[in-house]
Amino acid sequence: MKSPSPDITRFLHTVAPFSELAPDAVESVAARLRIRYHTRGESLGEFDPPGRDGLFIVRKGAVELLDSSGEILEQRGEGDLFGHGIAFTGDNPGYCVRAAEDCLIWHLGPDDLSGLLQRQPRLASFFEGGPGARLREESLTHARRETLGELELRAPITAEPGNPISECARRMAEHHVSCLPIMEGGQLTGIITDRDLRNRVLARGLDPDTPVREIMTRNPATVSLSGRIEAALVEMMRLGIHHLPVTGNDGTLAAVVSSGDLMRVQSPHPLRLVRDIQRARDASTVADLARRGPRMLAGLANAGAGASEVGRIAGRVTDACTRRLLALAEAELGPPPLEYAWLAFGSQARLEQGLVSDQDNGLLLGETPDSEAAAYFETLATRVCDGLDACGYVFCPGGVMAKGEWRMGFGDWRRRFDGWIREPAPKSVMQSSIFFDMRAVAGSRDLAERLHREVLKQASDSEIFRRFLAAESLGHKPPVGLFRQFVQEHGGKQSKGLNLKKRGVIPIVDLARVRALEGALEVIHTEERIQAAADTGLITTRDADDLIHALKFIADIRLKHQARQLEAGQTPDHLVDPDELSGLHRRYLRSAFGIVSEAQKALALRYLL
Amino acid sequence: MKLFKRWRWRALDRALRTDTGCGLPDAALRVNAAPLLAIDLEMTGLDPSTDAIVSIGWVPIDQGAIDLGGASEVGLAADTSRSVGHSATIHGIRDCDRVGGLEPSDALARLTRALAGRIAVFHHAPLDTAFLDRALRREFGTGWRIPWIDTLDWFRRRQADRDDDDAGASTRLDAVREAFGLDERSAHNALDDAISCAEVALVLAAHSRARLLDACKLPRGR
Repeated sequence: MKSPSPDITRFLHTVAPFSELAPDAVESVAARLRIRYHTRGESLGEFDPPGRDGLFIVRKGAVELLDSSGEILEQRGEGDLFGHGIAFTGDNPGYCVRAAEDCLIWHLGPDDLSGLLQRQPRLASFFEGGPGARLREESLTHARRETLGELELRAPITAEPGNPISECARRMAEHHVSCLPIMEGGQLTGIITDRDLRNRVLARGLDPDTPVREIMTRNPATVSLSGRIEAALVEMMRLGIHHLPVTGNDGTLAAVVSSGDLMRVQSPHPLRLVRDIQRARDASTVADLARRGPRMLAGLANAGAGASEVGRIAGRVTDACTRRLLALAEAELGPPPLEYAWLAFGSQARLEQGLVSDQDNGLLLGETPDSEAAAYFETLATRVCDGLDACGYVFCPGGVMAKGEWRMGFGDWRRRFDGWIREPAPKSVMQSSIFFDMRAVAGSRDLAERLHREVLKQASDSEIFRRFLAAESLGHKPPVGLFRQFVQEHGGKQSKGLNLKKRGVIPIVDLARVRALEGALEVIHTEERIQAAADTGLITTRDADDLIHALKFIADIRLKHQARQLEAGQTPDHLVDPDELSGLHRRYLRSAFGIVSEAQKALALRYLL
Repeated sequence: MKLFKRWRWRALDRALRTDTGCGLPDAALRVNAAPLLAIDLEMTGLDPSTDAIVSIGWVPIDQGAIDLGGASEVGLAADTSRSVGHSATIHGIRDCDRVGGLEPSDALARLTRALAGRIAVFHHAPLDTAFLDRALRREFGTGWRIPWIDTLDWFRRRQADRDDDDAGASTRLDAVREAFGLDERSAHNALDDAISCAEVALVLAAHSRARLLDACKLPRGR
């Protein structure tokens, strides 16, 4: 059926998920609508179970969704939907709807809706799935991202495990490749690189006639042709390698991709930036290089990299600056008098920085320093913190910095944590939370890991401390509603902008931290914490999956917002005007906030808060 | 007066029943529960004696719900003796667009079928009913015989009852829509205007307990 009215069709096209349909499909929906008008306070019906009466669209005005006791669950306004199953509490409970204002409502009857869902199966998950399913759908359908398959990689030059090393080396020289996959029966079994020939053959004086299987790296990590370029880069950075075998859709070897291949795609690239920072002559060169970081990260974001990849790369850039500044300072001040570890806290530790970030760091010394050593480390820390500030990692407003009070011996660090855990108070708990996200950037990793393990164990043993931490984490709550013009807060208040960090990211990070301390989980990346919490049975796999998707979505929205600001010459912040978001994104955000609220409620229940 | 109106309603109902097999709805029905058909015409001008109907749009309202599934718009083929002229700048229908339109008798027959058992709703009815009355007489020999609700008239009476002159003298549908907090419509096509008019009727009916007999105007007998 053809659409009766261009006006109706036009509005319907702005409403998710109809905005995702082809124009003629939207028209045929428009041709089946019924329009009703309801005066304020009027009941629009009871939806228990929801989904039986088709779908309702608020064209004008606003409605309230109420639970069976008459409590307002949510308010929905122009362009919002109701009538379908809405996961307020994880499951899809029944609800009543009342006109909060005079309103015009469009109704798509149950038969027309099920016919539509049959013709457009993609829409089905939007209505039938929980909010998590909705977000997963989003990540499937909206990510237009560059994959390795688009790189036109050459077919690989390979060898077999039985081939002598000398023959392999000749083949590599002949084809000008620095890496050679080893294949057996059509399957990838190993890989060798230039470096292996140097380190494992020449340096050891190994006979060149030795079969290559003796020196190859077995079962190398691979990436898929359909995998994303950014993911491959992150994998290389993580493993500290420069080549990755690429497998096709059938699992067979399709190519080898090098960091050079990837860097050619996007230049200048953060990977090159990291390398340049590592070679910088002095602190001011480090700062000049580091200040290019945010733009490059924004470029990655615009090219489709997600917040979690950008966060990892941003972390590597900050790490590189820190290490270089430390090395430059040590070169001038002489070797350190004590074993130490330079600790990153908070988002840098978790590898979850945004485009810009302030610094949170500390210095962990192997033992309590004498006055001479104390003076050495004070100078060292001051140089590095000042250097980081010049790089754009501004001084921490909370003063968590190695050049401040956070520079001490192992025993003193231990006593600080001991104090927080033994005598928790709301203020100290709040301040202490970022210290539990701890990672050694330079120096003795063992020292840092020992401290982390010990405080984890102690926190995990102290239910009282975790209860305080859980209570603090509930201080940041996601908003209850999101409209084009405003954000609906708890208790009926409305505000203009939405702080995605405070209202979205931090609640999830805090939740994950409490769970990590509960299970003494050593991982610190929030997604890994949530995953580990599910693996150890602290939360369900389903909830973990939902939370991870919610975090990814909220962080992606924040990242894109910051990338836009940076391109417009503004200082990136976390405050998003709802009007800046598409209707679809507002809806997904609301789903994500719903997931966070549920997880907070579960936490409150767990700690009897 | 009311007695006369009731008598007139019954007479119309009988006549329609005899001629078409389908009479009028019960005059005691509340407007918000009655079967209605919102109608809008586009014309070449404002004078029924010299101007022609270009298109007719309509949409049914049942039990207080506008049913877009029943919405329709028909274009009328041009009477070669008359031209769209300047009105093309308003409704965007040019003479050349009217070539594919229906014969007026055909278009009017469709409208009559859609109206079966319903009350008509117009915004500023005198103009539309005059055009329809003339066209029906020309094509079928019988004029307009259906009671109608005029949303503009109803709106003005409502504002007068409230001592509210804010709505002013504008006959524009958008002025009324604005007063009700409804969006302005971009449309100057018969169907979108019919839908807009239907929405205004919903608002009026929702705020009123009026019955059909009170809310309707009746065509004069001959």
